[in-house]
Amino acid sequence: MVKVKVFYTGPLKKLIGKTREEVNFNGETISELLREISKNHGETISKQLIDYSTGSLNEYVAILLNGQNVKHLQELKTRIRDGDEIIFLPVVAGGT
Amino acid sequence: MEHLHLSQGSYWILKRVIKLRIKPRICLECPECGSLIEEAPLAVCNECWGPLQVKQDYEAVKDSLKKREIKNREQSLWRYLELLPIKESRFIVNLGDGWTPLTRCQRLEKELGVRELYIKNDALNPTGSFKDRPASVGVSKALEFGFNVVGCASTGNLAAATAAHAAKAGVKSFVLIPGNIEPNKVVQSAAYGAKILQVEGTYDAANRLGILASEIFNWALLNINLRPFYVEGSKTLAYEICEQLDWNTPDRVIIPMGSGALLNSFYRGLADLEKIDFIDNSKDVKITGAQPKGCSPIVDAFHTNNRISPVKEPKTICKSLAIGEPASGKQAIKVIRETGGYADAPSDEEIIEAEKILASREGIFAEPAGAITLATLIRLIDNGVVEEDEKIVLLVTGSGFKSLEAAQKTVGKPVKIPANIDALREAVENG
Ligand SMILES: Cc1ncc(COP(=O)(O)O)c(C=O)c1O
Ligand SMILES: [Zn+2]
Repeated sequence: MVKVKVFYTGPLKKLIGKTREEVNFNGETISELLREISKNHGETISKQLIDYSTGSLNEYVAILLNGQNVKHLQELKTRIRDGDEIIFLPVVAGGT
Repeated sequence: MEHLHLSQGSYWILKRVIKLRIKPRICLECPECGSLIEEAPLAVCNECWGPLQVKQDYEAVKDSLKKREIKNREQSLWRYLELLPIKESRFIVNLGDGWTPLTRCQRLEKELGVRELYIKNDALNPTGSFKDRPASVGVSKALEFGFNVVGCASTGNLAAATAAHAAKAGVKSFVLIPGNIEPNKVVQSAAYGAKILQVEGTYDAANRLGILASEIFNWALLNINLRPFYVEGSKTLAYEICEQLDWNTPDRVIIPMGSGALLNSFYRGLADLEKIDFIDNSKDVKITGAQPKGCSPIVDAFHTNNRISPVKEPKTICKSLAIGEPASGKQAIKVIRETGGYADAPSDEEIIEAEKILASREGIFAEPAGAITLATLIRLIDNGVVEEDEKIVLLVTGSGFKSLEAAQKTVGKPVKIPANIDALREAVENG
């Protein structure tokens, strides 16, 4: 069982109705965390976050694990540890 | 109670006035999934996270706007008011933005062997970069939405442009910048009165913090929650170039890319002109993108046909273009392909050399992010992508004063002499 702090922005904040929560779950990757969040708040979430044609993260979504973009790590397969902080952000906002 | 009676004539005038001052609805549309919503300070599609874009009704504009009418209007980007996403002109914040010169470069034409070469000199904007265009539109829209704090995440130029327009509007501004940008850009932004928040790390880190800030504070962050409106300002570069060429298009335009937003806006600007029948060949302009070799995620994805893979640690003298995760990169690649354009990434050495050539042949002093378009043209001539009979426009998007340290690398030291005529003569005769 790991416990992580999650911060939601943009469409996810709208769907879930809050900006942050703690998630307790059995699993060790970003992918398993997404499954848990979808289980708690609705399947629309994984539909939005995962691009089913490629099996990878929606290219318009950035996930930061303790401030690091998971695209620079192992993306959905990136390992999570107890106490980690995970932030979901849109990619299209910002950019000079 | 007295009734209001209008004669036929005054009714007609009133209708004209209303038509001129209050524009039809502005909507936001998602190019990825097609969602359409009412305008709001929002950049991200709630259905698919795609980039929302302004959708305006150009049919009405087509009937009412004529080339000859624009000709006599004020010399700023606001001459194209009908094509910009502001409903009421009283909110406009204008420092005299845009309407910069399009200069024919005969010396470079000869030297490089191209038929017709022009530079759109956007270094001559009020704060020294093209960012005055999106900032002018963005701050105006912020006021129209009723915000009284504006801000942005920036590699420096947008910071200055936002701060200056906020000053003119009399509203507070916050700008988030990365740790390693040129000191002149920081000083300039501070002079306009912005609160400068220098974030440890790269631009992408500053940008992410900006996104979080937009969730927490009631701020209009021009390139975050106001991004769909802000990017519309850069379309005016396309309008102006076509107007300056007597409503003709060039064969190719070379555009610097950081996030890719400018390149996309340029293309949308051409498309607008076609929608209102001002030009008829928007897709014939080969849109060509330039990124520095030390940070070229868009150029790389263009050549490898892969998805954009973010650059973790950008390393380039073009600080303005050091954006590792380009928000509009995907669309930029689409535009480049659709128009038969190209994308290339010159090295810092090539860019510095181009900066020197621009200044010494054409009298145009650019920052590296502006000179990159000439460096790219030189490469494209060398490898045969550009043909000799093309009519080419280079966008020079920022002034050399923004990054004097880069220019210093290209020039010699002044010759120091005592204040007498013999010393002067000796110095002159020794070359
Ligand atoms: C001088 C200059 N040119 C070009 C760009 C690229 O703009 P974009 O991020 O829209 O691609 C920037 C961005 O900051 C800039 O400052
Ligand atoms: Zn969408």
